[in-house]
Order: sequence, then structure tokens, then C-alpha cells
Amino acid sequence: MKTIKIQINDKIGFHARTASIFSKNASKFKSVINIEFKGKKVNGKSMLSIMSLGVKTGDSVILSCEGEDEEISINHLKNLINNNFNS
Amino acid sequence: MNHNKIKGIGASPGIEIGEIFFIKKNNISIIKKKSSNKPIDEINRLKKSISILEKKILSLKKNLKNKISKENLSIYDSNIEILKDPDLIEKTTHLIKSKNYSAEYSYKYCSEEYAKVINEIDDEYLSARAKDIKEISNELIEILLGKSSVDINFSSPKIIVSENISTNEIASIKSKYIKGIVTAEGGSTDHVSIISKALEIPAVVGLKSEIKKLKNNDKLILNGQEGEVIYNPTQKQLKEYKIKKNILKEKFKNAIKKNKETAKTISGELIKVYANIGSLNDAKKALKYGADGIGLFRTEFCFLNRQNFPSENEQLKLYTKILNVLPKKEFIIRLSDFGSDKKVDYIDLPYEQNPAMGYRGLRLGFKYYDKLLKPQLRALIRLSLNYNIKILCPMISDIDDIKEIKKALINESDDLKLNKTSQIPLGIMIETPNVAMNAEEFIDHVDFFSFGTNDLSQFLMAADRTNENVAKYHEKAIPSIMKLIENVCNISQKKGKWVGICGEIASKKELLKMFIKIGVNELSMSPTMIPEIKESIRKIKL
Repeated sequence: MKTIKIQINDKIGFHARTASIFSKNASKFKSVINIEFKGKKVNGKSMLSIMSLGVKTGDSVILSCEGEDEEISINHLKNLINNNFNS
Repeated sequence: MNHNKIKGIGASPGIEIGEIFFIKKNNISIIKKKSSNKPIDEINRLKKSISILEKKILSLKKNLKNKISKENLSIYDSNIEILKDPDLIEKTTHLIKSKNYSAEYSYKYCSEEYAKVINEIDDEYLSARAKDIKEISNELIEILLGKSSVDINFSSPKIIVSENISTNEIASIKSKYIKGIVTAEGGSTDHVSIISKALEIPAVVGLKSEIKKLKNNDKLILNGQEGEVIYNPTQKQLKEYKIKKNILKEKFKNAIKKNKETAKTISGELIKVYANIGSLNDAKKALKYGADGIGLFRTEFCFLNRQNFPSENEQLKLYTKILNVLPKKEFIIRLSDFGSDKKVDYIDLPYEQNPAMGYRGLRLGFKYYDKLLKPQLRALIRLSLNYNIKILCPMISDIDDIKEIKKALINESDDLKLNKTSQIPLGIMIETPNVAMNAEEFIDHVDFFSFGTNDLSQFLMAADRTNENVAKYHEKAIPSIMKLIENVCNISQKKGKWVGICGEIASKKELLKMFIKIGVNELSMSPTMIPEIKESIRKIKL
């Protein structure tokens, strides 16, 4: 399993449009992808679950990927967040 | 206050007078909790209904395709995303399997859980999404129950009144039959407001329980300007609002016509009001809102969502398409300004401590000359044969950068061996203090200057423009920026060259008079600001 802690810098935070972009990207991978915030862990492939975390700009989340493509998926998703969701 | 007036929120402007078509929603509390079917049959029923609703939403989206923008159309994609959310479906099927609950009860229960959690987060955008979740859940349940929500077939224009109305419902009625929309729920930022504005249907939302006073077939005055409705209007009110409606219509027509006219002050000074654009859609807006030209075409915005930087031919094709929206106008095209906060996968950016002051703009263009600058310069040279364009260089702080870009333009021009050649006017952005304070050094090498005040204020105030904690400092940069603009205007006038402003302060009304006084030639701004700014300029007397 690959895990990283990452800060959300996009100015609208990790909800709304960004949750949709993230879940769409996460769904491309076979790995189980989770996002953990304030002790709550959710499926990164679900837009609704990501929105329910209420992550705001500047908050940090723990991203984890587990499965055959965990290496590629975590790098791709990390870059996505670091590029403020401009894939 | 009139006894027959109800105050709500104006969600989409306009005045309409018409008959009410009251949409009563089915009461979906009649859902059976336990199912008599086998769980597997319930799950199949759920999946089938989801696919029916998905097809329905897609067909509604298709109906609106040519009526509203791509951005607004994406609301319907987001509806499908909610409908098919993997966790929502997983939780629903789990409930069906483990408790033998009905599909409709399970979906309703799970979607309401999500709506509740999301609504509790203190955020206007998310509250609006919670509303979308409920609407989609209701529509799915109607399909599961085999009931069509309501009969919304009518053949003459009416004002639709309902507790709530979904974006899907609006799309399912021919928009020529919707005179207006009135709802009990809702706010000015939810999707229904966005869609009604895009379709130019006047709307008043948020009437709350007062909506009960409105009855089917009754006459109603809808005032989207003030966010109010008048039920059972008196003859006097009808007459008054018919006049108001006509005045508004006239005003609207004149405004569109007037937008396209140039902006001249009372004392006779003319200033060009141009648009900042970054896409085909922006160019269409520039046309609609009456831009006199394009003051800043941010080319990099066309290339952000790509895997590679486009070739010379691809760029030529794309620019031609955009320029053809306003083929007779002047276009100031900025060379791609990547780096800083605009990163792309296809350019390897080194890690930098301060990317806003690092490899960006032309600095990056020179570093990757063959990949970035070369194809763009060649595309622009070819474009200049048929269109009125000027080239604008971003992030200039040193005179050598200009000399180098001029050399590159000549080289590429020679290499293209075109029969006809034209000298493309070349200008630079003023976004570094060095250029702003020492324009004398640069003036003989350029045809024009354009102030990029957002970056300039960042460097003047030593305040990062992407850092909210220091946002308040930018406002304070205005007096210094005005001094610098005045200085550059003085120098330029002596040499017969011109000065534009394409940063945020170009659309600050309180500065317009000053801009004109010190001799700014052109202001470039977001297209939607143009009508207002032109109106303000026309009232100025120096």
C-alpha cells in the first residue's frame, strides 16, 4: 500500500468540482483508493463521499492506494492535486 | 407594501405577466419499506431505473445543447455523476440485501444520508449540491414507482410555480412555453438559477410557505429584477407592470446595440474597451458584450488540458477559429505564459522556491524554444497575413529578452518563405517594476505596452497574489501603479506609441476618469464587464 499526506491548495478546496475531477481520475485505476480526513476514511472513487468530508483549501488529507497499480495511481493522483486539479 | 406582493429572491432578471401553471409534486412518502421481492430482483429493478434516468438526463442535455454554454451544460453531467455514484449505489444495494428493504426506500434513505452530511458543512456550494442529490433521488424514485412526476404538458406559455423544480424538469419543458419560474425553495446560486439565467427565463425563488397563496391558472406578475411576485394583480398593477416590462425590453435591446458602439466621453475622448479571452467561448462572449477588440488573448489557456503542446498547424487552426468570431477586430495575442501557477504535464518544470519569479512566460519559452516558442511564433506569423494581430510578450524584465524575440521572429519569418510578409506589431507586458520604472529603455524596441497589473502589484507589494493571507496588500498598490502608468503614458505619447491595461484594475470604475486623463489608450477586461464600463465612460467629462 502506498500512502502520502498531501495539502489541498486549490482555491475552492477539495469538494465541489475538484471532488468530481478527483473521483473520475481515481476510477481509472484498479487499486483501492482512499482519502482520510479528520479520522474519516472514504472511497476516493466516489464524488459524494469526497464531498462529505468537507475538505477546505489548506487542509491536508491522507491519500492511500492499494493494488496492482498503486505506484502509478498514487503518483498520478498526487500530481493531480499538486497541479490544482488541472489534469 | 402591497397586500398581494410576495418577496423572494431574484434568481434571473426580467419581468413577466402570465397565468400560473402550478406543479404539484407527488408525495413520495408512500414508499413501502419492506419489499416482498427477492433482494436480487430489487437490485435489478434499481439498476434498470438508474439506467432509464441516465438516458433521460442525457436526452434533456441534448435538447439544451445549442441553447446554453458548455459550462452550464455540465450541470447535467454532474447530475449523472450523483445518480451513478459508486458509494451511493453500494450502500443502497447493501441495505436491500441485508434488510430486504425496497429499492426505493433504500435509495432514498442512502441519498438523504449524503444530502444531510453535505448540507451540514457550512458551504453555500455544497448546500446547493445537497439539493441536487435530493432532486435526483426523487426522480429515481418516481421511475421506480412507475409514476411520472406530474403532467407538465401544456401548449401555451405559462409561469411555472412549484415547491421546487429540478434542472431536469426545466429541461423537459420546451423553453418557449416557460414564461417564468417561481419556487418556494432555492437560492440565487443553485443550478436552477444558473439554468434559468442561461435560458433567459425570469425567475423568483425562495418564496417559502408564502407560495401557498399562488393558485393554478391565476394571473401573476413576476418581477425578477426585484425578486418579487404579485398575485391576483389589480388593473392598475397590470397596467403599471406592462409598461415596466416594455421599458425593460427596450432597455435591453438598446443596451445590446449600444454595447457595440465605441465608448466616448462627454468631452470627446475615445478609449478602446477590449476583452480578455482564453477560449472560443470567451471570444463569443466578447462579441456578445460588444468588445471593441481583444486586448489580451491568453493563449496558454487553450493548451492547459492537453497531453502535449500543439503543433504550428494545430495552433493556426485553433487561432483561426477563435479569430473568426470577431474577424474584423484587432487581436492582441500573448505568447504562452506557462509556469508560476499555470503548470502542464508536457513541460518539465524544475522545482523552484519562488516559481512566480522563476522560469515562466518568455523565460520558459526561450528555454524550450523548439517545443514552445517556435511553433507559436510561426503560427502567429502565418495568421498575421489574414488578420489584424499584435504579439504581446509576457514576463519581460530585461531588454535582451525583447531583442531575442525580435530576432526569432525575423528568423522564423525568413524560414517560412512566405510570398507576402507583414511586420507584426510587437508589445510587452509591464508586469515587472524594472520595465515600469524604466520604460525609456524599452520604448524604441516595442510598438506598445500593456500593463499586467495583477503581477505588477504582486512584485511592488512583495505580496504573493495566490496567497489569501496577504490579499489586502494588493488594493494598496493602486496609487503606485497609477504613478507608473502615468509615467509610461508620458514616455509613450512622445514617441507616438500606445499603452493598454489588461489587469484587474482596468475595470475599476473609480479609476476610469484618471486613466483617460493620463492618456491610456485601451482597457481590456472580462467580457461581461464591458457594457457597464462603456456606460460609465460615456458619462465622464474631463
